[in-house]
Amino acid sequence: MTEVVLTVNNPVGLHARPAKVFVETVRAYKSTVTIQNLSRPQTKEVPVTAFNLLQIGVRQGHQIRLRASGEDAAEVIAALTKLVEENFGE
Amino acid sequence: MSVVLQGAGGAAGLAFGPAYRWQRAAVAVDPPHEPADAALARFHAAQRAAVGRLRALAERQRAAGLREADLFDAQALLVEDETLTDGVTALVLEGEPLTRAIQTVVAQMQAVLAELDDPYLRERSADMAAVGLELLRALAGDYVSPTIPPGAIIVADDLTPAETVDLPHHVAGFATAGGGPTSHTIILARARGVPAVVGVGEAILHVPDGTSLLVDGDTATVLIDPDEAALQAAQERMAALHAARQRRAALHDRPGQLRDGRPVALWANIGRPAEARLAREHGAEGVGLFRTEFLFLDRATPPDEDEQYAAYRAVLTELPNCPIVIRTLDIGGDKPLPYLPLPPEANPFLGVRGLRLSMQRPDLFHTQLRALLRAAVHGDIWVMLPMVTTPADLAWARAQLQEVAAALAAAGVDHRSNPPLGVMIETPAAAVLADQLARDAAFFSIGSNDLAQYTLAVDRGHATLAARYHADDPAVWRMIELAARAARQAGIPIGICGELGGDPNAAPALAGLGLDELSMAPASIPAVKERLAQITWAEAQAAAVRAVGREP
Repeated sequence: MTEVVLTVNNPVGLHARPAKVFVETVRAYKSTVTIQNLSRPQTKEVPVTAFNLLQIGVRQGHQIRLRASGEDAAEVIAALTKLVEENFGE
Repeated sequence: MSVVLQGAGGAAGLAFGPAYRWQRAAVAVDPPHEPADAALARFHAAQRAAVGRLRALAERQRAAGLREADLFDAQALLVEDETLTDGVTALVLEGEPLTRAIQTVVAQMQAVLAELDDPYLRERSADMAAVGLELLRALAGDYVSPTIPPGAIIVADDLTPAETVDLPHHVAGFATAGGGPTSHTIILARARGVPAVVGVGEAILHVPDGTSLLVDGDTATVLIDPDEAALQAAQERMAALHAARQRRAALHDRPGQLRDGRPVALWANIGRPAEARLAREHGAEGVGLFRTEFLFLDRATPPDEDEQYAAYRAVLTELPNCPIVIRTLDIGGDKPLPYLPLPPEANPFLGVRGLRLSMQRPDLFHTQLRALLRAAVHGDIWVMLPMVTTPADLAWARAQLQEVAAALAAAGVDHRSNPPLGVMIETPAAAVLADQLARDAAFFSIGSNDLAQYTLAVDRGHATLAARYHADDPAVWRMIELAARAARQAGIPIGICGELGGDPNAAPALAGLGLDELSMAPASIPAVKERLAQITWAEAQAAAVRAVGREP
């Protein structure tokens, strides 16, 4: 199990194109990845899917916790961290 | 006999033509007793087709430079979503026909989003509905648009964004039974320049094909079977609009004033330095609200003093010799910035926002004040404070201004130490205590949007209560009256920079309450100027008495 807490800084948050890139990245790995929006305490920890990203509404400035389990857990977390830290290349 | 239907929103313009009932391609009929694996194979094929189509639409929109492109990408992603796929698969394996399985799961997903206590997320429920329709459409395998006669008015129960984009270019306009004023459908219609009305109700669906329809996007109405007189009236209105534009152009170089010469200055609201040019082109005599949020949003670190100074100077350069009212940073917990972590608040509109944020982050406030005092050397800058509720708020800000001025003086930096420091009247507290605020404020500006929300206790974006929000409610007018009276007694200027300030129908009463200046979107200036030029001071005062609800 690999875990990381990140702040999402790009303007639209995890919606639209960033959500697409995020989900597609997770799909490219074998591990199961879950996400929790720490800035919306009422939301639950959920698997990373397009619909779940909608549900937990990650906006600019929100903190998220990612957890991955599986053979390439470290790699997928590294890839997602890079995406978030580089603001999805925006 | 013509019938008028009122819609919920429109895309501007007037269109006249025969009704054409647009039908979604017939929903696929599931073969009876279809084995689960065959149904799932059809499902996966439909997913692939829908994704391909939505991605292609996204590309088309992107090529046309439309922001809605992202919407189609987001929908494509949802078509392949695991929750949807798993839900449909489970139902099909239980023996549910495929079409019904899709409808059921999409409805469940919509319900989850609709229950969230965030208006933005609730709106996404409509995206989910569109995704369901796209899937069913793909399942039917029919993307061939029906042959729509040129010049027809499309009548439909609702159109998904994809369907709106797909309408042939020879369509004159459209009217839908469902949909709201901020739906993507209406935004896309505006982008295409097609007159349209949405949310007119079920009645429109019973209109036989070929019936004459007059779609009026400006008033969000549809006229069924208009008679000669109605048609002529519509044409005359278009001609009148054109004539009004010409007439107002003639007033361009005159300052804002009533018919008997009493001046009412017309200023512009701008959100970026580049809009100062627009303000000048529309005849603005000053800037009544320069929002500075653009400097702070969409970035990882706050803007430094020099960047802010350059932005403020750019406006002074575009509008030399004009007063420029610059509002200090006005954001709150509903719009957190990366470099400004704000805890989520249960009630952001009653929380840390406007000047209250500056009080928590004096470093940001000081940088902005330094830039403002330096820029004020080059023109007539007024500094305006948002979200002031007590005289102590103003006193605090004044002390910061003096501190910053002293520091600039000590460092030998060129600056103006005492630009006018005023407050926005946007809370009932500020309106009620306006006499006390006026002792230390150099000017007032009514922020009518928030003042109305706080006075009426209605969120203007609320799904079911928005109809109770009226910026021209007598209760709001009385708040404005209190502030205007206090300003007059203290001898300080008072203006307005909320949306009410750009409403030609509100202009007489605003002038009648003694407002010195109305500030509005640049494009609104010509119509307000014309309205003011038509009335006398006595008429304006009578309008004010009516507005506050104190008629004899």
